[in-house]
Amino acid sequence: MVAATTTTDVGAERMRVAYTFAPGAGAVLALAAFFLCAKSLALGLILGVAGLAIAGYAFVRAAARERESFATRQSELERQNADLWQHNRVLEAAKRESDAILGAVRAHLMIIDPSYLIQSRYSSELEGIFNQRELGHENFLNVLQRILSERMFKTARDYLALLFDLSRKERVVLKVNPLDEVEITADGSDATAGLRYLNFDFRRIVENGVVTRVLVSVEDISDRTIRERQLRESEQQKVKQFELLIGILHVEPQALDNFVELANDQLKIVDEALKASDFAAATTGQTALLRQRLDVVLQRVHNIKGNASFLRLEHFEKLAAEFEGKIIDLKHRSALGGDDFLTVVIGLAAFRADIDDLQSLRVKLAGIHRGVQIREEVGDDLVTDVTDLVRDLARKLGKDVRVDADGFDSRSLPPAQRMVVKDVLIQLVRNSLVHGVETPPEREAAKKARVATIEIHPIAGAAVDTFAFSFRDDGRGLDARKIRQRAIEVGLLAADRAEGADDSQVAGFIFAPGFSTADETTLAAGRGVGMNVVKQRVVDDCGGEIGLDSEAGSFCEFSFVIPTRERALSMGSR
Amino acid sequence: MKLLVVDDSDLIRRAIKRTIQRPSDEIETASNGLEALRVVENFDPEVVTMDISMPEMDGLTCIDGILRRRPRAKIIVISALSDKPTAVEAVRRGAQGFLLKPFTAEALSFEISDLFVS
Repeated sequence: MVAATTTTDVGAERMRVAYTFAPGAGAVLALAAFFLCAKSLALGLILGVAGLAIAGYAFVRAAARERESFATRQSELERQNADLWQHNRVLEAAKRESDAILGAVRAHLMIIDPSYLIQSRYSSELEGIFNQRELGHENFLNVLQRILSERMFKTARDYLALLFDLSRKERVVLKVNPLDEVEITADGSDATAGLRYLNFDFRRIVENGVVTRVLVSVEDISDRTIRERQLRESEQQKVKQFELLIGILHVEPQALDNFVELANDQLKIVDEALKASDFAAATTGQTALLRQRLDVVLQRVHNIKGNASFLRLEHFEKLAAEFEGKIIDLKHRSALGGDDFLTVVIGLAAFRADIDDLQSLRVKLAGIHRGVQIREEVGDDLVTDVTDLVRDLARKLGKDVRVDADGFDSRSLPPAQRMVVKDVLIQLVRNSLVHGVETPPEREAAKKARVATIEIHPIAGAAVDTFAFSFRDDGRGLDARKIRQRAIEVGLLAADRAEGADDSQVAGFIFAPGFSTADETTLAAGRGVGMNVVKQRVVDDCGGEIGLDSEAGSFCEFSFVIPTRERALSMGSR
Repeated sequence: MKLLVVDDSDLIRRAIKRTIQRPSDEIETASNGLEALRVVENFDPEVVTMDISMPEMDGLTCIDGILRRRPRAKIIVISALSDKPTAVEAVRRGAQGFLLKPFTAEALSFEISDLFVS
């Protein structure tokens, strides 16, 4: 467009030259005619008229040409106008588009040059973000200085230099972007504004091997960042609570209550020591007084530490130890000021917060304990424990056993007798699983159910003041031949009398100390102690009775009658 | 390739060694900045991996020392540190790669190979 205008100008100049030349030529002829008049009037007249005629013709021609050229120029101008208008429309559309892009992206854009001047076209939202109007031609460093901490500003200044230094690889420079999540200070220290975070992203614009500009995109990420931080904090809090919970599970609730109470008492004393009215006014001249106060704090914290260590509350032991360390550090300073106690006050607040957490956990735990008690109401926990033991042993021994304990309930027993029943059941279970119950293939070969059954039931019609129950497994039963042989081996039965002893007499040998028919000792059984323990606990300790019934290849059943009166137990345990 | 691994953690030194070592490589290690400077007296590493927080002499000072003695050495900072100003400072002093701990073997291999792409 511009080029076309220039060509037209040159053409007009040429036309003007021609126009001045033609009348000029006419005038010269006319002058020559008057000059010649002196010699010949006629020739002079002819020449003069001819000259005037030429001059007139030339003038008329020139005027016509001028009109023609004017029309050409006018149409040319109209065409130019149309072009310009079209061009403007394109530019406007482009501007609308770029405005739409700048407005739509959450990141707001600007371009800075090597002297860090912000170029005139930038997203208008940046004025709001930086709280500054007219950013065009403003130095980006000045903007940063206003919103960043001093340390971050210095880093940002170094970083901008790296961005414009093409000898530094862009990938590495972008990787260490210090402004990707930067805390900014609100201008005019508006307290309600709160913390704000910006994300700056940079891209080099390289032309002819030089970074000529850098594209900067800026996004306000305050909401996201604050949410993320809150989430992180609450996660950390959860982890801490969980660790705290794990750390106190082994402690008796009453002992925990005592600890919380003690810690609160001690912290209160610490509080008073720190809050004394003369404390705030304390200056470095009163170091002795401040030291004395530190000693109070130290003693109390040490006391808490000792208690925490006794209860194996590791978290609080560690916390107290750290707190102690800080106090000792302070004590060793040559001079002490009120400000130095800030560490203690902050440490104290953290300690108190954890004690509060402990207290609330303790309340929750009380709820769990109640829950456990409710579960206990449902059935005899001894049955649950025995069932668990059977399952574990069966898995270890490669056997498959179920427990049927319908009607069995030991909860009404006095604690001492209940303990006896528990010991008996443990030994019987071990005995059954090791000696009695076969493996599933053995049971299938013997045409028995693959899964063995242990039945524990109360015995109906037992005498008053007794607890009677039976324990039966459907395993291979007692092997009288093996017991007899073993009894002879260990000297319980004389070989020559073995034939004469009946099976029921032989069966009694299993209760003898050290008697086992197992071929080898395992953790589960084989030491020959188990059935002896049963006899000792039931007969010797309680004065109870044991019955035994068995059928080879089919079952083995023990029955017990245990006196439940206190007197019976004390009489039994000689 | 000649490599120098500078890190105060023996575990990290071994992990880096294991990750980058190929049979043809020649690898030296140092557990702090001073030791690294002693190593480069007689060893001209092409690549140095550099921790930042170390006893005796920190990584930033060590970068200066190594580049003064061995200007052609390419230094990758491998650091757990989330302090951005230090990272910028490391690049300013001439580090050519940056990797945040914990890192993967792939990330380290990429950082090293990228050193040789202009």
